[in-house]
Amino acid sequence: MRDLLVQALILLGTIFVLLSSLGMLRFPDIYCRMHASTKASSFGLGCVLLAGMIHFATFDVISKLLAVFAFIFLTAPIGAHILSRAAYTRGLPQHQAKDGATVAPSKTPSGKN
Amino acid sequence: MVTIVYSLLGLSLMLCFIRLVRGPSVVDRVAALDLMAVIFSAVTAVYAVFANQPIYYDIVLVLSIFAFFGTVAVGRFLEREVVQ
Repeated sequence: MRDLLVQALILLGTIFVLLSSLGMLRFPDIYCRMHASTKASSFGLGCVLLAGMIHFATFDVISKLLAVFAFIFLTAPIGAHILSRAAYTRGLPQHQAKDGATVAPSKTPSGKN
Repeated sequence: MVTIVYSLLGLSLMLCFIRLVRGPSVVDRVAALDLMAVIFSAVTAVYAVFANQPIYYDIVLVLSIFAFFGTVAVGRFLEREVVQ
């Protein structure tokens, strides 16, 4: 029973990591890609770590895995925020939606990649 | 089960590598490298369960710390380069 739960959690986390990198490949601009890569990959890695907690179930492993869990869930939004601010400052183009809704462009558009 | 999980993770590494090669801007490439570090962490965490050795979770922690510091450093550098 516990092995089944561990395997299901590992498979779920792997599928979420795969969906995250599929979004990284398929989404139209850098901001959408950041949306895919941050949230889905954090959740997938969290599922894999939860599977490790259930599989080992000792105090030191669970405390170490909670530290890894907290670190990942704290640093993934910070990294994505810094990267998207860099993209916005460099004036990278945004994907045009069908109703034409975009955010205002940066004040110092440089146009270079 | 083991084969399926490792092939799915390898497939996601390949998709990320395509974005790393094709990415139209530098920021895309940095984001792809960040995601590749997360996938390597997931591979190591899965291997720790399958090999029944919890010592590999230390590698996961150090790998995610290095990935975060690298992303922050490159992001700050890319942001500062344009303003001046």
